[in-house]
Amino acid sequence: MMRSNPNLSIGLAIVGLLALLALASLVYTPHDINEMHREHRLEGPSSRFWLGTDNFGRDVFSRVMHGGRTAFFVGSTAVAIGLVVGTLIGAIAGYAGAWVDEAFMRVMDGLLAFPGLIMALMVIAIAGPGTFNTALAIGVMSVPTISRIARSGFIQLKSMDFVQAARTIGVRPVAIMVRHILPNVVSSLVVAASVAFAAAILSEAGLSYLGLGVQPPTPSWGRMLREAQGHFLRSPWSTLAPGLAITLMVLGFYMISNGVRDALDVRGHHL
Amino acid sequence: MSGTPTPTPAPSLLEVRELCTWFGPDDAPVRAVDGVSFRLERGQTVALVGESGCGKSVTGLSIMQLVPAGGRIVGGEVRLGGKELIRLDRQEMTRIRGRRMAMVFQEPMTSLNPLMTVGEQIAEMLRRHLGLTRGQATGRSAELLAEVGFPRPRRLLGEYPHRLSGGMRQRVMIAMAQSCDPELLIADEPTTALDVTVQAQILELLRGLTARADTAILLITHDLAVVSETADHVVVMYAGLVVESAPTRVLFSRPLHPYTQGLLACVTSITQAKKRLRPIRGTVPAPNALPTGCRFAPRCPRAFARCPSAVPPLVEVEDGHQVRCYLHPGGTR
Amino acid sequence: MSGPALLEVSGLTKTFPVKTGLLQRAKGELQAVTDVSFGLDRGRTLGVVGESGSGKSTLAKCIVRLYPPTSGRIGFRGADIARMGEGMLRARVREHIQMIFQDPYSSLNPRHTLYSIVEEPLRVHRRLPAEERGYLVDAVLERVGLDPVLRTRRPHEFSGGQRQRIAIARALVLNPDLVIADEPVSALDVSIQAQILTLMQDLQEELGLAYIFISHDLSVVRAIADTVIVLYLGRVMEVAPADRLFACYAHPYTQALLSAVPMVRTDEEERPPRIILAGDQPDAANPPAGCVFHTRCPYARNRCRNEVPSVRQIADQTEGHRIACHFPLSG
Repeated sequence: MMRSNPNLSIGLAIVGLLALLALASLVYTPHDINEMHREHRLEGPSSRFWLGTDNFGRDVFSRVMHGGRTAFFVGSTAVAIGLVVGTLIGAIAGYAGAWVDEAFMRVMDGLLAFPGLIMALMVIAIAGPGTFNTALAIGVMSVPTISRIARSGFIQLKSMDFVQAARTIGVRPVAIMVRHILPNVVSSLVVAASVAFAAAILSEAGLSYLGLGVQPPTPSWGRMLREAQGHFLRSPWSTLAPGLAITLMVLGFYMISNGVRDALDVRGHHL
Repeated sequence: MSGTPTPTPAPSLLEVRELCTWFGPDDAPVRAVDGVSFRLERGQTVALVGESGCGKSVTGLSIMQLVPAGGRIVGGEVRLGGKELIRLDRQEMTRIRGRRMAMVFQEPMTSLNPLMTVGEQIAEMLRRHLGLTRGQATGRSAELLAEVGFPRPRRLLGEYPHRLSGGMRQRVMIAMAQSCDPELLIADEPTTALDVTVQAQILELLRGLTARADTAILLITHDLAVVSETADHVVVMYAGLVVESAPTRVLFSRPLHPYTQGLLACVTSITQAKKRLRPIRGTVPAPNALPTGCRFAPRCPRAFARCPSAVPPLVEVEDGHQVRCYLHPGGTR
Repeated sequence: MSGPALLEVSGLTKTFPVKTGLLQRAKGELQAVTDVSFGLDRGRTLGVVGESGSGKSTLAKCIVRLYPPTSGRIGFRGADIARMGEGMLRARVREHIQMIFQDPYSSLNPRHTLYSIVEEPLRVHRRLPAEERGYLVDAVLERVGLDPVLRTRRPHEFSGGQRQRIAIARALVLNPDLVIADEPVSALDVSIQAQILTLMQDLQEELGLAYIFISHDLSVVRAIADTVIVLYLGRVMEVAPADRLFACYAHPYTQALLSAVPMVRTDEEERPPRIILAGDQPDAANPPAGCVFHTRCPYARNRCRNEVPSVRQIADQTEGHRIACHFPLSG
């Protein structure tokens, strides 16, 4: 299944590296992320400050590491919320069909009609800014897409003979959904989840850039961009570093999703 | 036409000699077709029979020079009217395909373009191969559809394939295959997906082709009953090899190879009351794990010490009846 | 017949709404099965034959209650299961009626192992403590000709014939009274087809199973059925004991169907004259008035076009030979 799949391996390598940096920040960063080295403001890369410093003289590399932590936290929380809620709604709508399906899907259509960011802004307006609320907002944003993917999988599979066979055996609907259908939908959900992860990273950056997402003093790539942009001409490093981190992370997850899809396609031919 | 084709000095319409088509890597090839020989005369129907994996479909595709990806013809000859096809360049082959020989498949839906009307698809063949004008092509298309039994062919020209039933699609495919009046029609399981009454229509149509148009048909099928009703001569394949070849009546009256006998014992019939069948034990060997010697030996109820030694030769035991089995070592070769 | 039959179906009808357009408004309805009645005793096999669109699969799915019938009665072991709720079906009926599907590539969950597929019915119906189920599963696997060593394999690792054996094992593990087999051998090679048919016959003898065997292949039905029903556009055309149906059919459709079946012939045998039916099957959503077969029947008369023939016993003849035709063929 994994043989020569460059998309998947490169994607995993990029994301793995970023994850490693984020994890390392739990125990070690070259400098304290909030320590201001006033005499070293807006410096370029050096042996002491690997990616230079920002306008307060804070070490950019340390903050990028820690920002990775925030990105992963927001991303995985949002995807988890999206997956759980989306799959649940999609599964019930798809398996039950008829009016239940209609009802759920019209609500999802309603949600889809709002641009994602506007919806996230609404959630934040209600719940207030903050790291977890940002994740919540982004998670809600991804529910309609994931529920549609889950629903189409459930609809397609519920008419398959093996599901019919399970019904004739007397398997209960919940067990049919969990034991028989879900394992066959997981692959497409994995693809959807990795796309959603990439989107979540972007949304987090966007919200934080607007000042609505992750709040100080927690470092976030989006907010680092916002804070550094005024000094871009004097010191591009403090802007480029978080920008590059966002780009790499998003690219990595897109490559993973493509890779997973390819891998599953190949298997599909054998079946 | 019964039994022996009249000997003529002219070459047979189709002559396949020692055809080998292999798949996979060179060091461990999958021998899908492993030395198949037979001939086919004008107006005659020869059936290639066998179970899935015996190499009958790959033989058909090899004759058309349409071996699926991963496969290649590694040896043998395919002669159409004396002309060797295997080493023809692509352009020449394209001219022959459709013009002199055509093919119909089990599932006509996948061989018809869903976005083109029936009329457009037949007309395209006619214009490309015969150079007809648009008007001529439309008229001829309608004639062809009438020949395959559509009462109102003009109306059908504007229909899209998905609007037709399975039987209608198969008739359209046959009309397309007939559009250039080919000498050879290769039909790969043409009635397998169809209901019996529709199957009967299609078989009647194929019989008509050989009788009226002198088309030769290579019928590829697993269905012995269909063979019995349609073919003049039968070639039984097993694991890439011809195991028996005989005129149809002879084969069904006096099958010699234990595999043929076993297959016939498996056939259900509407004239036989509720009964216990006598199935062949085991399954067809995987093409990449063929047994040594006779490939049927592991499943053969009459296998003896000699069978696993080497693949038995195909010998002629009587006129036109060949068998590949050590139980019948005699013959004139 | 002594005592009540295992299965007693009467007046079974199944209608599907035909939906069209963006809003999926019901445009009309399609009667997939119309007024079908028959009985089946323990240990016997009922063959159901018909072409695609004849409603034979719908009939099967109504009897296993994958579909709720629109009307009619399905008496099974003395109770009417036609209108029984899902909970009641699970508690009382499901374990006694099992189904085998046509395509062994789609009837087994690709993510489950051989063991979990065959064990599932036992688990669902809480038969035996978990640790004892293994013995029973192994015994059933061996009985259908599968090596229990393979119990951790998944369906794609088996051949078509082996997969159909798995499906049979799953159907048998609960020791049901009735097994409904919908084209169980149609997707298989000739030699494998014979193996599966023989297995089904042996199992019937050993376990006293009743089968409803659905097939478009009349010769296969001939090999296994005691009684045969011929369906056309969802209606019963003819019902008779198998020996009688194949020899003394009385319905023109049965005649056409039988004459179309290709046969292996040896030197001596001659085939009966072939009757090629003209045209295609009518649209099931818009069936012809009168006898539904009249548009293709070579003997149709005026009465056939106007009056629906009822299914009736043929006057003099054998018990259980019923036919829906105004002008039955004689002899």
